[in-house]
Order: sequence, then C-alpha cells, then structure tokens
Amino acid sequence: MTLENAMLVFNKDWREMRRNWQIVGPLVVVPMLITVMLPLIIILVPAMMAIPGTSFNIPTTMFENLPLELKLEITGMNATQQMVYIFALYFFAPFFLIIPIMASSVLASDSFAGEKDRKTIEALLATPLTDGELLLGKILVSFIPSMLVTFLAFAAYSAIVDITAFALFGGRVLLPNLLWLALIFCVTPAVALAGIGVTVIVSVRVKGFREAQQLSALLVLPVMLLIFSEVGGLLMFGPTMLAMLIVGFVVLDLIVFKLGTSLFRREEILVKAV
Amino acid sequence: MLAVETQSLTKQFGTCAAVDHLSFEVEEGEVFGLLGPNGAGKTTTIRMLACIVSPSGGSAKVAGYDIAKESVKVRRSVGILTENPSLYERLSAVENLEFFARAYGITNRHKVSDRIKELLDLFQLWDRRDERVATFSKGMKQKLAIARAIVHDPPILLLDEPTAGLDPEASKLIRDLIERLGSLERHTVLLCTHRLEDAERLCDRVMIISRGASKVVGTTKELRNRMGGTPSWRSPSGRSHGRWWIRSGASSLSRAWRWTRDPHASWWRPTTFRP
Repeated sequence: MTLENAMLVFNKDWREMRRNWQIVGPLVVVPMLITVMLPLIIILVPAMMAIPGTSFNIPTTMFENLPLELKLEITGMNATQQMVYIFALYFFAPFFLIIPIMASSVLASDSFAGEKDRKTIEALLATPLTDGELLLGKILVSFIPSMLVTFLAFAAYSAIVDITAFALFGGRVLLPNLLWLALIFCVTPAVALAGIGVTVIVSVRVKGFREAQQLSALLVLPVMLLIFSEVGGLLMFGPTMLAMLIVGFVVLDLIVFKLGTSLFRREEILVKAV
Repeated sequence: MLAVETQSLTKQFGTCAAVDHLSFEVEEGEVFGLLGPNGAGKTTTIRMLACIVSPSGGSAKVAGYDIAKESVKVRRSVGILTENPSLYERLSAVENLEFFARAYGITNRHKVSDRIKELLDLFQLWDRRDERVATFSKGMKQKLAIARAIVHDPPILLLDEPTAGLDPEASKLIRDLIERLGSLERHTVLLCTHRLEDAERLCDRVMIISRGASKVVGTTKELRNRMGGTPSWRSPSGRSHGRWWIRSGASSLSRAWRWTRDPHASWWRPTTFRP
C-alpha cells in the first residue's frame, strides 16, 4: 500500500465533492447554523441588545447542578453575564460534536456509497489500487475536510463569543480556553472517525448515498442525549464529560474500524451495488 | 501463447450458478466473443477475469497470471469496459483519464498527458477535453470509457456490451474501433455481446453461453454452418418469426425469434424472445 495511491483517490474524490452542491451545501449551512445563527438567536443578541422579555435566567435545575468551580467562576457576575458565560462556554459545547458527525457522514457517504449510486464503483475496483489504498484515500477525503470545517466553525464561534464578551465583560476574551481546545483537537477528530467508520460499514451494506447518509447520521442521537442531559441538569460540559467523550469515542472508533476494514472487500462492495 | 485460459470456472450466487464450469482459451491477439442472452453469465465471467469478483470454483489465467493469486498483476494487464461507462461525471474527460492513468501505474506526468492527448484525438474528444463528462452524449461517454480502458495500453481488453444503447452511427464507430484494436494493434479482446451482428463482424471466434454454461465454441463461419432455421438478415418479407438453434454434439441451444424494427433506423432485425 502506498500513500501516493491513497492520495490519488483523495484528490479525485475531493475534486468531485467540491463540485457537488449536495455535499458543499450541508458542509456550509449546518456549521453556520450551529456556530453563528443559534448563538446569535438564543443568547448573544438578546444579551447585547437587552431586548425586553428575552433576558432569561439560567434554568434552575441546570444552575443547581453546576459544578462548584463553575458556581465560583460566575459569582459576582450579573444575570446577563452569567447567562452568556454559561451558555457560550458550556451549554453550546456538545453542539460542536454535531459538526464533525454531520460532515464526516455526508462526505463518507458520498465517497463510499456515492460511487455505487453513480455506478462508477466497478471501474474503480478494476484498477490495481489495493483495498487498503482505496480505504485510506476515502477515509482521508472524509476526515480532512470534516476537520477543516470543524476548525473553521470553532474559529467563527470564538470570534462571535469574544466580540460579545469584549463588550459585556469589559474587554475580557473567553475563547479559546483549555477545555474547548481539548474538545476541538481531541474529541472532534475521534467523533469524525467514528462517523466515517459507521459510514464505511453502512455503505458496504446499502445501495446508495441517501441510505448511507441517513443511517450514519443516527450517530447524532447520542449527542442529542448529551444536550438534553445538560438542559435537564444531569451533566455539564467539563473535564469529566471530556474524558468520557474521549474514551467513549476512541473505543467506538476501534470497534467500527475493525469491523469496517474487515467488511471493506472489493467483492462485497460490488455485489451489494448490483 | 494464451492470453486467457479458464478451467471449469464457476461462480455461485447463493444457490444460483451464474457461471457454471466454464472452460475456454483465448489466443494472444484474438478477438473472442462471449455471445448469449441477458443473464447468461457474460458479465460475471468478465468480472472474474478482471479480478473484481472471485470465482467459487475452477481457475483462470489472464496474461499468464493466476486470477486468484496474482490479482494486482492481472488488473494491470487488462483494460475493462464495464456495462455502464463508469465515468466520473463531475470530472472532465482529461481528469477522468488522468486519474485512471495514474491508478494503473503511469507516474510520468509527460507520459500521462501525451497518452491522454493521443486517445482524445483518436476518439475525437480533444475539443471537449475540459468539459464535464455529465455534458457528454451517450456515445461520447462510451468512447471515453473505451479510452479509459486502454489508457495504460493493456495487452488484454475485456469489453462488456460496448455497443449497447448506442445509435447505429455510434455503434459503427465503436465497432470500427474494436476492429482496429484487434486487427491492427493486436490487442487481445474478449467481447461480451448479445448482438449477433457484433459477434459476426468483430470476432475471430465466438463462444455461445447460456445459463452460465458453454454451449458451443467456434469461428462465426463454423457456427453459421451449424445453425438451422437461419432467419434472412436482409428483409422482413417472408417469415415474420421462427426459431433458430445451434447444435454442438449432443447439446443444442435454441431461441425463438421475430422481426423487430430498429428504433434508430428504418431497417428490421431479428431479435430473440420468450414465446
């Protein structure tokens, strides 16, 4: 297996993907919604503009379950500052797991199952490229853009939060901090890999791009559970949650990649495609 | 020397034998036809010879390499035209050929671009080299797919229904090209078709297969001599339907036929049907 051949597959797929609005659309729109629109609508604009009736308090259950260190951190802040601080730095963190899951599943579905849909798989499998080179090239084309999108989304989110915080906290900058850096650079890659691994398994079994994308997007469900747990006050983003996420997703990665690589065989892919 | 040699090649999908103990040999430089109706096992045979699917039984050598043990060497030695053109429609003609040239191991940049220029000129696609394949007509896609199959100049070509779905003009062009590849450039061509006229015009020898099994092998002339109830190819006058059959020893293959008007032309041709 050579990296040069894997990069050949990467370049071919990337050229195709960036000319496909079905792929580029979700990669642009979903991160925009999560990192720009949602924070603006929910917290930042109401907080900055002091719109009557929108300056809500932190839900009681959520506040009661805040870790002691966090309660100490927000002591002395007014209600608006507390709300912005907790929502921007803690509540929105799990939303950032949706971005790599969505991006990797869209890209991987197109790369793996999309070839079946477009009936291009047979000519590709007839080349002397090995299964390992094909798999690596397709994992890279799903992983690298997913990470780029996640990093760009984080940069945009940090800029928005910091612009708000600068005015609200008297020149203080909130992001990036260590927790968020760990989330973005340690957890999201593991999440993206899990998304790709699940998509590889699903793509071998299904006949088309849509089916693969819908099934692999089911990975969003545990993340939604995290978000609702936060709202319900069961969990709060912090070192414990980060450790749980890292361990959980690394274990999931190992399982799905072991299964995915064992399933990724020329014949299996082609037979399911016809 | 033998370019393709199969011994009791078998492919089983569940309980169904798509290819059933198929044995045949193709000489170097020969154009060999696999002739049979849809579902006869032609495509599966080609897929096994191209090392895309593995046989359930038997063995085969392609360009002297064992398909079970030396699959990468076999893939390097063959060019395949699949049932669908299998082209990347969002890429241009040049980008498609570039990818496949490199995938088949041509690493020299100049060699790749020279070969692409040569092929696109040959297929009269050079003017549209930078346009996306999605904008091409069916005939142009088929020509590009053949260009892709020969981009690495393989000694053996596996062509699956190369004229299927093409209008008479495009079909003629493809047939001329296959003829040229076989006779002038001495490529070994294994041609799958269900069109008698393709087999008759292009193939040195033909094997008729049905339900995955070989029924008869020979030159087109030999086969014609064995045929009974041969329909007239020139005019639909006289009989409107009938039955033709091919006998080889104890086994025989027969099909009902009737005249149908070609949708792309004003002439009639005999086609097989299930009564």
